[in-house]
Amino acid sequence: MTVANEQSAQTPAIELRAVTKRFGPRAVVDDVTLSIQRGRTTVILGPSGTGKSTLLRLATGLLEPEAGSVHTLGVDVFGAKKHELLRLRRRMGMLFQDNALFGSLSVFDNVAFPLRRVQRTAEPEVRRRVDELLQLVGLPELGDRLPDRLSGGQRKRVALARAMALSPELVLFDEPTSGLDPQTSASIDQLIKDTQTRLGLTFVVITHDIESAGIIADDAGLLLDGKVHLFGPRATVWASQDPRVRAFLERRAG
Amino acid sequence: MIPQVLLPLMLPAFALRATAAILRGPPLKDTVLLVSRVILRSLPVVVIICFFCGAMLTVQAAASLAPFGALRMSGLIVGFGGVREVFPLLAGGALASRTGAEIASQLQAMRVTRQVEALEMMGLDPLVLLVAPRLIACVVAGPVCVFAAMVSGLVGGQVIGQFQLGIDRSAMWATLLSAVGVGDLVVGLIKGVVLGFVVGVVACYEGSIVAEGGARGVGAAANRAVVRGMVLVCLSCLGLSALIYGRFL
Repeated sequence: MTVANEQSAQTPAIELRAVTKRFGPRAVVDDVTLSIQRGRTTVILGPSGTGKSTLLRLATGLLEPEAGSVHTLGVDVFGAKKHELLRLRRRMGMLFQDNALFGSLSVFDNVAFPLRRVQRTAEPEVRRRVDELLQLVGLPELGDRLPDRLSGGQRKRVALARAMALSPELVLFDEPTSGLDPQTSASIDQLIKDTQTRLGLTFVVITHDIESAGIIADDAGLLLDGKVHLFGPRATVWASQDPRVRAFLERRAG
Repeated sequence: MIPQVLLPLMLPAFALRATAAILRGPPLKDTVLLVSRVILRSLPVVVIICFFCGAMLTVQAAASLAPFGALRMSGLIVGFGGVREVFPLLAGGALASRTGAEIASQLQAMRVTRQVEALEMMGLDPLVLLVAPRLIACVVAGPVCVFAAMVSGLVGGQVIGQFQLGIDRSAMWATLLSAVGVGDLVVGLIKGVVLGFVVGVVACYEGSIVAEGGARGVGAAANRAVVRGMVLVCLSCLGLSALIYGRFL
């Protein structure tokens, strides 16, 4: 490993410094400073509408903040030129809340899309890699199906396979278990945990599902009213006696 | 947020960015498929509308010229007015309503279901991947539609002139074609390119901007693409006619 690579491996996966993002007069993300470490699964928890998804979009450069700086995988997201930002995004994968699968493409073609369009991979290699990814997410037989012929859990799995196609260093999950039944949610949690353990990648998961966070998180943060209320190792957050943390974790009306 | 005063500049700015995206090499296979799709879907509408319009123009021309004993000259009006103005305008309108609405709703549906964000997250530029092929398709389809509109309109005039008004077949063709020169054909094709560009830019812009969410946003985008596309088609036709034919006045 070169010195530069070593230094880059030591920088946080995502670092936000005093970031504020407003929609109209309301600060959805309010002066947030946060550092997410590499090689771990970090879960950002919080009630709906507290800026969790906005945080992910800021980290990827899909949204621009009014104040503060964002560094992702060592790149200054809002100081980068457009081509640098596009190159940075190729080092990330993202699983969207609604999966964002291409409806007119089969499962196979959805997963193959980034390989064909971004990496211009040769077709035999595309076939090998897609088969491998569908195997990884437990859907080896469904390559020919269209996304609307799949269940919610199967769509999540396809979206994860597509997010992993370019062998990203960082994978972002926006509410991966939202809208799924408890059994399917548990299987997605297990898939996320197994995949992270096997590949050692950096996973950042945005969710309001406390049970899911308890299974997959190494680190956890609680976002309340656009601010990071508490951040640290999962055990520390879970053991916190802060009344607002307890109210959220015990699902009491705050 | 973009200041309100800058909103009228958004469309020209988008047109520049979309044109620049064409130069960055949109995917060939998608572009070829879209070109054939746009032409195949727009042509039937263009042909039908212009056939009947050519027939109607002939009837009106005949009604005006018959009292002066000049019924046989009806084709001249269809030749001049139809080929130079009405048929290209109708072709542009048909392109806006058939293809513009489809492009805007398709892109807006991809935006609201976050498929566009998914492309951006793969490090791909939606302008190159989605907008440029659609714009090229409209620019190629424009002159094809205008040419088809001219032929279909003339045939409509010929059919009504020959079978309803009883004008001699060869005389009708002769008057229809006497009004149409090679220059008119070239101008028509240039108009087609401009109208295709206008329809494509408006449709892609309406499909790409952040609008209302969900199904309502998709419907509204399609609606705006048709309405604004048609208004700009009319303005473009007027501007081009004034520019090209105005100097002979």
